[in-house]
Formats: sequence, C-alpha cells, structure tokens
Amino acid sequence: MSNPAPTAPPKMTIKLDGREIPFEKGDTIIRAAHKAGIDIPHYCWHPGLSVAANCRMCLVEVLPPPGRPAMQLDILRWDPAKKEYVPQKKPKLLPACQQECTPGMEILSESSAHVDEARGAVQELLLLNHPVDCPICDQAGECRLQDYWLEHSRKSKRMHEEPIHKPKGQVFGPTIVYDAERCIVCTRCVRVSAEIAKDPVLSIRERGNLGEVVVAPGRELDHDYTLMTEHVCPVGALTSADFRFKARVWFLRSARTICQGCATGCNAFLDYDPRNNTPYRHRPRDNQEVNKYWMCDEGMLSYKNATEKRQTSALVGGDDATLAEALSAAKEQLQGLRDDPERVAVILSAEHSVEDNFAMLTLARTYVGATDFFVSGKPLGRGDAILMAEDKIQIRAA
Amino acid sequence: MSQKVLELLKAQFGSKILETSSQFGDDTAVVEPSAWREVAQFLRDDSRCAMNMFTDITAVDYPDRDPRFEVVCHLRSFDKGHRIRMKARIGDEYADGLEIASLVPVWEGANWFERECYDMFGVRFVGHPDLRRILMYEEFKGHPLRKDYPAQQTQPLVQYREGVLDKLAPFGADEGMPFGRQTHDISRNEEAN
Amino acid sequence: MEPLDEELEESALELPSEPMQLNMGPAHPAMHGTVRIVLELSGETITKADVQIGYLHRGFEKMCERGTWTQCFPYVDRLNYVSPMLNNVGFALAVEKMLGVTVPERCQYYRVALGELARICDHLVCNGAMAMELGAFTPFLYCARAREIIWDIFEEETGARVTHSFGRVGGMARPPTAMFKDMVRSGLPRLLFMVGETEKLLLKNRIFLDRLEGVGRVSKETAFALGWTGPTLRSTGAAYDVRRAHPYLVYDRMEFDVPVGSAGDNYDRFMCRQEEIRQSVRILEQVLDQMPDSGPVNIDDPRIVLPPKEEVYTTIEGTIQHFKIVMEGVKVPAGECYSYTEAGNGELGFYLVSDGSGTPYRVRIRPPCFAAVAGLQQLIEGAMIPDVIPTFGSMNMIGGECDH
Repeated sequence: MSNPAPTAPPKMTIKLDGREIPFEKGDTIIRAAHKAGIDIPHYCWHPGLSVAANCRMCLVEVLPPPGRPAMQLDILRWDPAKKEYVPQKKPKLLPACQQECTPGMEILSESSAHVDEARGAVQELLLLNHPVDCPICDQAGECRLQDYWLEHSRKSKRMHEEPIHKPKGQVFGPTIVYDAERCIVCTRCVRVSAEIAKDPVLSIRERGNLGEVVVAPGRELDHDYTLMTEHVCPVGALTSADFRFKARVWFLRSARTICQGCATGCNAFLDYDPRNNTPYRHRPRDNQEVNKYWMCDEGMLSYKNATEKRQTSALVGGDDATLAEALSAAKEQLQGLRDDPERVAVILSAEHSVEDNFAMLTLARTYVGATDFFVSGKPLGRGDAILMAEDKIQIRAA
Repeated sequence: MSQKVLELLKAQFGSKILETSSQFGDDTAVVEPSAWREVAQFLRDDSRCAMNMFTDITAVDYPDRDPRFEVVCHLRSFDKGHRIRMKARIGDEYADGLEIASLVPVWEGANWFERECYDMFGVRFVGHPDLRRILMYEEFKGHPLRKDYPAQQTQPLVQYREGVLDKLAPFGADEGMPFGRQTHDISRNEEAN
Repeated sequence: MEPLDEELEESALELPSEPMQLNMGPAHPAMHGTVRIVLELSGETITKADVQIGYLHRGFEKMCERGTWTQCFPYVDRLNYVSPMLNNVGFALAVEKMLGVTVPERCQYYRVALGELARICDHLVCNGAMAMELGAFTPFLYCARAREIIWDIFEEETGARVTHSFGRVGGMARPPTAMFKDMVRSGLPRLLFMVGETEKLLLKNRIFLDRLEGVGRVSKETAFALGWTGPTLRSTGAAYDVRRAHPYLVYDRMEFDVPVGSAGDNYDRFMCRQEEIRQSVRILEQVLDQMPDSGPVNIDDPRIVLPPKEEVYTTIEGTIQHFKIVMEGVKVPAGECYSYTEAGNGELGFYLVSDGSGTPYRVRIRPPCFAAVAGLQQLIEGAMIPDVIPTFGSMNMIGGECDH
C-alpha cells in the first residue's frame, strides 16, 4: 500500500488492418505482427536473423500521420478503355521487416489493394526464371513460392522469353546440394552461416537475374550448422543431401521430440511416414530458452539412431530369438531376485532418452526390486559456444 | 430455408433453443436435446411451420468438442416451401450419454434414417420401435463413421451362421419355419447333446 | 430330404398351420442383387415383412473424408450408378454453394442437358426393369436400346459410358464437344419412338396392368412423413419437384410440367416416370436452343479450377496451381450446408461439413431411394408375393445410393 506499484509504461500499439497490436521498442512491423500471430508474407525475413529486406514480399502501406501528406509515387497505369497509359499516383510502400513501429502507426496489409498488387508483382518476378520443378522438388508441399502464389498472385507471368538457366545440383558440402535456378537470392542461408554458425562461408555472386549463392573459394559448406541453411531456405534451392529425394512432405507427419544428441536438448520435430513408420528428418522446434530456432547438424541427423545401428530383434545368449522366448528367458533369470536384491544390478544407458531410462528404472525398482543402479557413460565430444555441448549425454539436460 | 421459422421457434421455446444461425442460405436451430421431440412435434403441427416433409437425420462427430456429437435433422414444408435444419448436441468424449428421443412418432420416415445413424455413430434413439443395425451386419464391431474409427480398420471374421434361419428382428426366435428346424437346426441339436 | 417311401404315420402328413418364412433376395433376380426381404406368409399373403439393405455398403461417406473435395466425384458417381451425371452435378452444386461461386451460363446449360439425359436413363431403366421382372422382356430391350442412344452421347462427351466422373467443382471436366447438340437432336426422336413402343406393348396388357393398378397404394400424407420425394411422391398427387420448387442452374428458364398421379399406386409411379421422360425431352429441346456455342465452361478462379494441361507442363504457375489443387484440394470455407437437387429418384441431398481445409470433414448424402425403400415394408404387408415384385420395382431402389 505504501509502495504503489510502478506505473506500467503506456502500452504502445500499432494498428494493422484495423487491429490493435502491441509492440516493444525496436520492434519492426513484421515482428510485432509475428508476435501477435499475424503472418505478413515474407521470404527473406527470419525472426532469428538480421534484416535484409531484399525480397520485397512484406511490403505494406503505412498511412501518414494525421495532418501529414502521404508519400506518393507518380506512375503510369494502363487504361484498357482508353487503350493507353494514364498518369496516376500510388502510395510508397514500405517493407514491414525493416520499418520500425512507432506508437499509433496505422498499417494496411491485407486490406490495401496497392499492397495486394505489389505482392502479386513480386511473386510474378520471383517466378520469372523459376524452373518447372515442383514434381521433383523436395520443397514442394512446404514451399513459400507455391503458397504465396495461390494467396497473392494467381496470374500467369507475362514474360514469354526463355528463362535464365543456372547450375543445378551443385554440391556445396557434405550435407547440402544447391540448385541455383530455384533460388530467389533471399540470403537467408548466407546470414545463417555468418550469424549463427559464425562462419561466413556463403556469399552472393552477380546480381539481378544472374544472382546465385556461392561458397567461398577453396572452402566447402562444412560448418556445424549447414543443415540450418537448408532449413531456412524458403524455396527448394538448398536441399539436404540426406533428405533429398527420400520422401514427399505431404506423406509425412510430425511428432514433437527432443534431440538426443547432447546435453543441450534442442527441441525438435521428428517427421516420419506413418505408412512405414520410418523417420525421415528432424526439424528444429522453436524454443527461446534452449535452441531458439536452430539445431546443429549432428542433432539434425541423430534421428537415424532411432532405426539404424540398433538391435531390433530379441537375442538370448547372443542367438536370435523371438520376443516371447526372450521374455520368458528374462523372466526365468530374474525370478526370485526380489528376496535378494544384491544379486542384481541394473545398467542404464546414456544413449537412451530420459523417458526410456525412467521406464527401465521403474521396472527395475518395482518388479525386480533392484537397488544397485549404474549409468553408462560417454566420452566428452566436440562442443561449441552456440548449441553443441561437449557432454554428449542427453539426460543431463533434463 | 426460413428465418421466420427460427423466430417462431425462439418465441415458442425460449431458452430451449440454444442458438440459431444462418449460413450459405441454410437456417439452423440448435435445440436442447431434451426438447428434441417436442420441437419436432411443434414444427410439424404448427400451421405456420407445417414441416410435414421429413428429409434427413444424420449425425456429425466432433471429437474435440463437448458434447461430442451433433444430431442433425433436415425438414421441409410442402405447403410453405421452407426448410430448416435442427441440431442437438449430445454425448461426451467417450460417446457416453449418446441418447436422444426418436422422431419416429412424429414422422415415420425417421425410422430407417435413425437406424442408419445408430449404425454409423451409435446414437441411441429412445423410443425407436426397432433400433438395430441397417447397413452393417449384426456382428459388426464399432460405429464406422465416428472419427476415431480408423478407415483401414478390419473386422473380425464372422462365423458362418450355422442356423441359416436365425431370425433377425422383427421375427422372434420361435417364429416361422417350425418344421424345418427338426432336421436342419444344428445348433439346437448340439444343445440337446 | 428324407426318402419318401418311408412309412409315415398319419399325423406326420398333416401340414402344419403355422406361417411360413420366406427369404426374397439378395440373390433373387428381381431384388437387383442388393436387398433381402424376409417375408412371413400366410398362404400367399404377406403378414409381415422386413426389408434388409446394406449389401452394397461401401463406406462411401467415410472414404470421402479421406480425400480432397474433388476426389469425391468418382464416389458420387457410384451412388446412383444408373444416372451418375445427376449425382456429379448435385455434388458440384453443393460444394459450389459453400464456395459461393456460380458456374458460367454455358456450363449451367450443359449440366442441365447432361442431367436430363441421365434422368431419362434412370427412368428407362426403372420402368424397363420393372416390366421385365413382371415377365415382359421386350419392353426392357426397347428401353435398353433407347438408353444406348444416351450412353453413346455420354461416351462421346465424357469418354465413359456409365461412371463418368465428369463433374468438377466450378465447372465440368471438359467443354461440350462440337457435335453434342447434333447428337442429342438426332437421338431424341429415336428415343421417344422407342419409349412410345414400350408403352404400346405394356399399357393395354391385362397382366401388366393388373399387377400395377391399385397395388402398393400410398397416401400423400404417408408419403410426406416417409420422406418420399421424386416420382414416388408425385405419384400420390403432391407436385413437389426440386427443379420447380427451388430452381437451380437454369431450370427457372425452362418450360416443363411436373406430372402427378392421383392414386399413388404402382401404375401412377410407372406413368409418372414415363411422362417425366417426355418432360425431360422437352427441357432438352429448350436447352439445345438456348445453350451458347462458345464461352467458358469453368469459372475463372485458380484456387478452384485446374489449369490446362499444357500450362502445367510448361509454366511454373500452372504447375503450382495444379499441385495445390491436387495435393491440398480446393479450400472450402468452414461451415455446413445442405444442398439438394432433383435426382432420378427424388431429392438428392448433400449435407457437407467443412473445417476450412481441402478435405471434407463430413459428407452426408441423403439418398432419395433410401426413404422410398424404407416405406416398402408397409406397402407390401397384406399384399401377395407377386405384388412385391412390381412394388419394389417402382421404388427404383438403386443399391449404391440406398446403401451408401
């Protein structure tokens, strides 16, 4: 009572398509919308990366403050009735990923015809030289080009010249294959390499139609976060050598999981095919407390441990056996140990997940009555200051 | 469809009409399950509604909702030409309490439609004269149109019905064909042994 | 069988006086292979009847929940497989009702034309089969010959004779062929001639008439309560035809009569169908006069209609459009809708529930003959066994539709 709570600073808001959205100082329009759950279409912006503002897909119309004139451009617009171009005005659109919010700002995104037209034009431009690759492209089904074309363009391109041809199937490194024709040069992969992996090995060569991503001469794309370049690629330009041509994404289902690779415990999705119950890939799952948006290559490929190099059938004394035989053999050997718990010790594996070990522990305690438990270890591995922990035992994360 | 009927229903039944809506030109009234038959009777008998044409009864399964099932009835009036959709929400997530009054006393055509609804969703229509499976066979396990019934589910093999003459309702066990039984009803012989 | 030369006691020779149970179908030739009627007889009179359906249940509604909206068309084809085009059009209209789109005028006429052809097919088969089941084989062959004219047209238009899968959300699979109008124009008089011949064979035939007139009578009120629609309802004198009561497509521009009966017996149902064939021919003639020869058939919306194949193979936009519609399906706004059209047997209703995705949440069909067959029991109770045949025939039960 004597200590009145400090008055909260007045909540700052912007108005997006008539909807009030709060923002914090320094937020760009797209970030404020992202926090509010509104998706402003974008290719090059990524919440975990710096702003490039080169795809121009997130253009929005910012209304001028009251009493100020609107920023306008003089344009020529085709008038089908007069059959000629007539001078007209149109507002100057701003990229939502770069424009910082100011209190009371009024923004039109979906509700502006100019924005709609601009996005359609951007989409047409991005598809000008795009090859007819959807049927053989790994990205098909989760491709921004496909989604945004149907949402914002829905027109055929007006260019009928032969598209520019660029190299396809370039091997960037042990994990990544690059298709320059599909690339929209959004530079997300360049920024991931420089900002997340701290290894600026990618760059852009040429400009305009000819622009493409290249690896630094004499180098390969071989840092520990190469699969993140593939993960952030909004189109099918960068493909993972591991996942390439293995599965079609619309057959996959996602399960939420935790990476078993090291003590960091990155949050991930495991994509699997329910028809044959086979996992195909990991995808990082956003968790600001642990891994933010990212995962390392080792973790990304650790999904294989679920099926590969693993005992999948039962053994009794080293010989193949059926599950029923193995169970009865185990039952026989464990019989009567309850009265004499010192005769048994249980080894828990560091390779197993917390849940597996917990199940084993519960079983051993309640049914076998064991009192001695050992946990197998694992030597320290390579770590870094980003996500990879030297400690490769995942259960220590928990 | 008719907005006017919705107004009438609201005036007549008040809070028993849980909500009304109009979408795609269809008018819907969600009624309290306990008032199901009462509302139906009113719709048929009131001269302003005169819904004498029974059209359809079915159900929809929404596993995430509570109550989980929606029983949907479509009606039409021959004289007025208007239509209405009447819905009731019943059943919890385990499909318990999946019961609603039968409309057979109101429109006899509801008979088969309710049997189908029972067959496909397991909705029990209280007061139905002959509620048994209609599209599926008696030994069928589960209710196929529920969302938790997997589409690739296989059913246990049904034993060849030895008593070929086993009577499905409405025939009782002792009705019909008495003279065939003496030599051909194997199951009865086994019982005797 | 026990040997007959056995010595029997006097009492064993007495016939028992209990009622007899008789199975009609599902293997009975007049049961269309899909229905079983369990009869309890006292002599030849039916004291109790139980109509059992489900022999053609294929889980159609469940299957529809697994594909995209467009993938339902082959399934709806197989509902009423005697007039699949009417189901195609009905389902397309239902989805379009939810999408809030209307197909171009040329397509509307085209749908009406194909639908009326299918309706003629339906009635021809129903009446022809009904006559055949009563022993009159020739009329059935005449009807089959007349149906052949229509099937030839369908084959030319759609490439398939029976199950066309020709409807699409937002249009048809293909525009009418150049010779469509000529084929229909030249086919209709031949068809009418054969319909006339059929009637000549039947309508003065005492055997045929005796088993139709006054048999299987239903009152108007009962028919309403049973949910009857279509020719079975109209035979009782209630002039309810969806095409007239709630006109869809271009039926409001067509001049046609809704034939009604007076007694609601088998004869009236037969004659209603015969007259509806003539009315359909009338509609067809008007459609041919009014239908534009050029213009779009499909609506112009890349979110709903597939692009031309050559664009799919050569341009990325066409590929994307094709991919999105085929893989994800047409996105139908969330909600529910009941759409109804006049199919061969009456009001064919589609109750669709969408959750806003490309896959139906629930597809409920309201098969018109399901209601009709539901009423069969009370029609045949008290009648004679031979009456079951024409009465059942006049219900026009189509297994695929009735059993889902």
